[in-house]
Amino acid sequence: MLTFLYRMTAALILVAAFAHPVAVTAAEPPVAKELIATLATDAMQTFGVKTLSADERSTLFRDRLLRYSSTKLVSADILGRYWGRFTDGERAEFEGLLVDYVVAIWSGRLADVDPGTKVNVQDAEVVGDKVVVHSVVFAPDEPPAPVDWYVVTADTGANVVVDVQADGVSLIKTMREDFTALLRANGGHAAPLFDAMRKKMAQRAGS
Amino acid sequence: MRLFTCVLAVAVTTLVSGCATVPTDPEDRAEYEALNDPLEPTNRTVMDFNLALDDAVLRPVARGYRSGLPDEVQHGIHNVLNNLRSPLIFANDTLQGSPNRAGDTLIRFMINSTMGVFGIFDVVGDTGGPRYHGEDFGQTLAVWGVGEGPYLVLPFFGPSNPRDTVGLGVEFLADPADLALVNQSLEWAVWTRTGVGVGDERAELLDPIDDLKRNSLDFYAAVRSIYRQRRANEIANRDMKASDLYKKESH
Repeated sequence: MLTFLYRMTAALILVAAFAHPVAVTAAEPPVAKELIATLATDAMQTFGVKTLSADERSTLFRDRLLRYSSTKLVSADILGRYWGRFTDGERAEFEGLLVDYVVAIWSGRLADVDPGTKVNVQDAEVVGDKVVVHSVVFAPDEPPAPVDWYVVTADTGANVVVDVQADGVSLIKTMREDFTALLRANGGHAAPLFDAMRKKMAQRAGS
Repeated sequence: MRLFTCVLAVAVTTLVSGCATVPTDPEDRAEYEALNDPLEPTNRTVMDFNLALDDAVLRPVARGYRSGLPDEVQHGIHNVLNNLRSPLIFANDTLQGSPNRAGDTLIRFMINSTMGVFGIFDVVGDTGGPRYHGEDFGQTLAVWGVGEGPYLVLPFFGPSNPRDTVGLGVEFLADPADLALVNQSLEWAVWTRTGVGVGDERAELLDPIDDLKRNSLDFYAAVRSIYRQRRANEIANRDMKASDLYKKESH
């Protein structure tokens, strides 16, 4: 039932470094396709190197996350209606924590990226205010995995990925329901969420 | 009769006491309704029970299964189990009015059962033919327009909803492969298939579930979200054939 998680891991490794907010208009489909092709090549060349240490992988992952993404829109998507309830300080703190959290949670899995993994970029279509780029990820010894990328043009003019779906499961939607469950259980207050994120990061660091 | 009344009263009391409180704030209420999980307190308790059972029994068994058997043997067992589901999948493909998918299932079953040595080898999928696709009666009910109802966590079975629970029950009673085995007085084979199937599925989920436990802040909420998204995807038949994978441009 959950083998999609492996597919999503491969997708996340690619998208997390490129998830970019501050955008509300769909990108041009050919441009979006080119972005995903470039992203896939870049990510595989970077993280397919097996001689990287854990610290190097984390550093590279963080560098790319910060270089290619503005976490504001992704943060707002994940928090949904709670984003509007947070203070400016809480929003800023969440954005920073989210980067740390994604790096801590996912960078360990970068070691599992097979250098032989290929991404076959297929067609693209406009869906609402986003362009969906369809692709298939071929990892050695794994069944081909359909992965969809959601691309928008930010108000800065940059084309960025704002979500990824593997086997029909949206990374952002799953994170939203995970995070907001904790907020809902704590009256919508930010502090318990931040504490939980820090606790999870500490657990990962100690494992 | 009195006993039945008592049991019913206890069950109703448990369910009512296990219901989530409906929020009064409009935004909170909209979120509550979108989650469609009015039995969340009870569901969380059942999940805790399932996880405890899993830690005590299923997970250790699955780890032993995975570490004790060569990969090739595990793949073979997995393929045989998939193949045994083919008559059920064929029936559901047909009931859903999907003749092409039914044809794929039939061809796979015929070839894999013979050339694939009782389904041990997925000859069809490995040679570029139709890949395995799952189908169940819960999906058929969905295609027929039956609503899913509220989210449920079933003891032993895990995430579900009333529609999928009915589907599970129907398949338990009417799986063609099981019926054929029972007709041959091979009940032991039915139980063996069930037991091996549980072990095989849990072994497949060892790493994903461990990952999700490590990577989620609220495991219950993450599982609920993924289950629903996956089911919607399965009902829409958004899977792919091997031939689809190569027909478009590649980078």
